[in-house]
Amino acid sequence: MSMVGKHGYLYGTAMIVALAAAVPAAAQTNEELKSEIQFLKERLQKLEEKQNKLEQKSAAQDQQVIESGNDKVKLSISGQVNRGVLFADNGDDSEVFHVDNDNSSTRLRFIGEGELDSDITVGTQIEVQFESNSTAAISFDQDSPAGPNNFTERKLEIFADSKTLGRLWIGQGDTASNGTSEIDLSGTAVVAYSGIGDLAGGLEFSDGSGALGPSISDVFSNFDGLSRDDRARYDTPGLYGFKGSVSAIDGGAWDAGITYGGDFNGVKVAAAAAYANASSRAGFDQYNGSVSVLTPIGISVTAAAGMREDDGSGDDPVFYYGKLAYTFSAIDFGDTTFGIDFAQTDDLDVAGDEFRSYAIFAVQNIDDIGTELYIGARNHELDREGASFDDLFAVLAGARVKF
Amino acid sequence: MMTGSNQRLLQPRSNRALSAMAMVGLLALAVVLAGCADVKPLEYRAVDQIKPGPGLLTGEDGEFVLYGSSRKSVLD
Repeated sequence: MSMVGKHGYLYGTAMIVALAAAVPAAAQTNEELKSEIQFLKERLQKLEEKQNKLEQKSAAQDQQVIESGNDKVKLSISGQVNRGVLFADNGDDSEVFHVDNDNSSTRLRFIGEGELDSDITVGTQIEVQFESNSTAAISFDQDSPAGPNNFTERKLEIFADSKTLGRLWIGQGDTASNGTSEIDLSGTAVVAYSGIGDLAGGLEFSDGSGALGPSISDVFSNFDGLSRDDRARYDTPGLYGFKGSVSAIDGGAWDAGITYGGDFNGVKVAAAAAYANASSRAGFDQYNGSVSVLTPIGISVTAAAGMREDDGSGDDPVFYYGKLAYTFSAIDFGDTTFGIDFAQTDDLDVAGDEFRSYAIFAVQNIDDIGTELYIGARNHELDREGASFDDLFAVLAGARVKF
Repeated sequence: MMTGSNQRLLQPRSNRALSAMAMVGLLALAVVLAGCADVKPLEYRAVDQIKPGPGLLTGEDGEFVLYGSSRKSVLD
């Protein structure tokens, strides 16, 4: 019963008692008392009816604040905040940074969509990120947090989705090859996935002389297609778990990708492969792929590889990645996962470069409040002919909170 | 004169070959597994996307519906 309803009953009861006390019992006959009680009962009934109407009206108004009742259109907002503390040591300098975790940045998303009929839905997606002191942008040389201290684009696009014909996109968004090096079912991507440069990519190696050398992002790439860009893209409908995609990108680049997802009696498998041609604007084409398997007992295995063919001479850069993780339920809040991984990229910045990285990490889910707590320790090594760089060690701990 | 492209082709254990082998292996694994019986399609969600499921303020839905129905988005 609502507070308002309780008050109604209390009010009625108080009225009965007060009136009964105000009338001398001796001066009233039984008939008069019955009449009074009847009168009060009727008054109480009218008050209850009035109260019920007010409550119904209030509930209807509350519902209208969030829903129009039109089931053919929808506008929704969602987002997350992902902040952490990063300790890093390159052998010459060590610092603590308060960072936005570029593995999955702080962001806002608006999705608007409307059904044309039972098959076709047309919609828009706006997704922007706001990273203050991003792990991908920090430097040992900075005196103040890295910017840009404003929203930056992720997705600004229109789509038309047909259950039978597939989906067409135009605008800024994922190219067909984006994400194809990053298939991962381990549940630990918030702190470790094949894009290992997102954990501390802006930080620089040191040769011990005091001068800063190349950054992790200079010497590492997972060749994950052509990222997000201004493009037109088409996705086929799903067929036995397979989906194909192609996109034509501003500047004359184009790419194509295929993804697969299947559940084999509880063994989940996801895979992707792509080809990207950016010769017209960046002077390379690229092949890459990844696969991830999650077993019912919680053990997952993930692998990725890629290669870039530069139009110029020299060795073509390559990339490899492997991860082993174990997920279990130790507490009621949500799953716990521990994992290790290894990544290598050769010949990216300078021919002959060998970059390697390995890490150990853990993620604790708190499901009811959409939160993941995480910690990861990663070592980075760079071998370069004619130079000697110390290892770069980094530890990142933080939380991603979906609001 | 040998072109850069020919030089790449004449390197038997070049990076190109190793990468190609790795890619073929990944695809072959997916195809072989797809051939097995009793397979259900798995809706995979990219790792850099906002996670599905509950939110701190949005509750079970994981999103605020500002207008319209609360039905599932076609992008989910």
